[in-house]
Amino acid sequence: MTTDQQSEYIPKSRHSTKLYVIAATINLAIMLLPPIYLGMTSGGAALAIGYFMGLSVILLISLWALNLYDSSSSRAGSS
Amino acid sequence: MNIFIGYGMVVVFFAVIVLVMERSYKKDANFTDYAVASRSFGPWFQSMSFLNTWLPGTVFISFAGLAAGSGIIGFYVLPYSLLAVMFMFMMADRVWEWGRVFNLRTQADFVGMRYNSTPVRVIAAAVGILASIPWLILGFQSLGLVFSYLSFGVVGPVAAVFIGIFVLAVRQVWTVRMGMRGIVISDMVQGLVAYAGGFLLALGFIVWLLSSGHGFKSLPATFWNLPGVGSETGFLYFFSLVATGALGAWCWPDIFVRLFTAKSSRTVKSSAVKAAPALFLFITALIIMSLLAHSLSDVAKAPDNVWFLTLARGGPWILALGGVAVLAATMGNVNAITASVGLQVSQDIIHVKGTTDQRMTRTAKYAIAGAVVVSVIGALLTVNTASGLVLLAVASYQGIVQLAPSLFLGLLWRRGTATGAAAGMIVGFVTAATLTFFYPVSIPALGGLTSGVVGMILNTIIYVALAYLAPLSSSEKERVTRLFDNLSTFHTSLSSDTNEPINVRTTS
Repeated sequence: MTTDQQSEYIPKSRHSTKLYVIAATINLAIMLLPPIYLGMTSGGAALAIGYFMGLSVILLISLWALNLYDSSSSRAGSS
Repeated sequence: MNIFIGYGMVVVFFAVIVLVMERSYKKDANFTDYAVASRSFGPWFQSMSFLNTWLPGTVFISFAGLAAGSGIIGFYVLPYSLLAVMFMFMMADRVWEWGRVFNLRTQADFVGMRYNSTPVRVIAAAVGILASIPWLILGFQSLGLVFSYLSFGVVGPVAAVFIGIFVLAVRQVWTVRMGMRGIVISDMVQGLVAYAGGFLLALGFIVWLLSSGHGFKSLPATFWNLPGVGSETGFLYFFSLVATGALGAWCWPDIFVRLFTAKSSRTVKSSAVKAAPALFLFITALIIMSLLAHSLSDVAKAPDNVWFLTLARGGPWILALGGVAVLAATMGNVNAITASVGLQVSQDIIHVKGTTDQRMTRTAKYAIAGAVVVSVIGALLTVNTASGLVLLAVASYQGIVQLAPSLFLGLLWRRGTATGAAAGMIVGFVTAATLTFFYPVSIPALGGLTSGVVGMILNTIIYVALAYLAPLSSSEKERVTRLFDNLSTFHTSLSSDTNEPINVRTTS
């Protein structure tokens, strides 16, 4: 036995397509460029490890920026 | 004598886990409670649950081994892990919302709902299950190494695998009894031991290696190169590894289900922001330690054993701690994989038309047992492998990433059809499997692309082409429009017995 009822959940769509496209493009560039450069030069440990650390910092900052944007959007939407 | 230190520490750790689970035990109200803990967990538990599923014990073995044996390319796990977290953030709203409204419990359930198609659901489940088996093999293999090293020479590799199976089988008693709630709670304790403990151990040994003549200058110059233009593996190899890793991340059934256990989509996002720095610190420390350890002669000969061989220099207590860290990571991952394999075999393949909770649970248990048997055989066949285990992981990614076009495009694009999704997955998987057989590493003629990327390209072309050549019917178009724009128009039936939402959707 079931009871039908209208779902009370109203979604809050906060997708920012442009932001995600920019983030995806940056990510793609990050994935494609390094081996072309690092494979052609021999910069040693400093360059190689420095590249991965720099890449990680960029990704972490991107994530925090997205989170900040998302939090402020949801606060603006609920006020 | 040392075996008592090693195995004693395992017993203590196991007892702590059982105590935590028993004290937090809550009887499951219904199957949704059992499968996704009624979507009740906050960001810290979510974060550690994701980490304990994402970072299996083999990260200390096959991934660390790649760094110890081949150099800087071992760091590829870092960008693809961070990208996976970013994708988690981007997917959170839509996946969680749809999951809640339609009471979705698995990834196959999710794509089945999106495309309103039972065949898509079954194919997605089959691909996910097949691709997960290599990770179970790596998991049991990790346990074999743990119990072999922690016996300090008393127990051989084959016997050690069976001891590991016994420990996991005992652990399964609580997994089966407590369901997802128990898994998430124990993930917190296991995660702290594995990754906080693992980070501290790795950091300590980085200091020791640097101060005892095993610095960066003792490593070969070729260690710092990534495959570039003109290299044997091809300049697109690194891109392929990172792309299949990042896109494949959310195609794993055991990872995807984590999106359903949170109490809100905001919680999922918050957990992503918390997980990312922990991932960065732990992986960085582990990989740098492994790179430096290459200059130890025994590590150079058996790079996949780098974690144990390096920690052995700290004495039995340090090695025991390191072994427990690997055990903690493995337990979380193997639990998650076996639970998802069992659930998907039962709910999304055998009983896809529906059945009682009791039958579904019983079938899930048999499926788990079957997966364990197959994986144990695989682990025994690779028990003496000391390098190159990461190839098993890479090969499995070529298969699982074939779910990515249907999953991600299904979230972003309204035109996708069930026919396109099904055909794309099948062609992609068969292509990837065939090419992996002939080119297990990369395809030189295609600049170093891996088989999975080629499969994914074909998969996507078919998906998009069929969206235009055989578009959605008007009723399906209307349903998808409501799914994207007006979720509140879906009627949700509530069972009068359990008050649990029942999906109201037709499947073809």
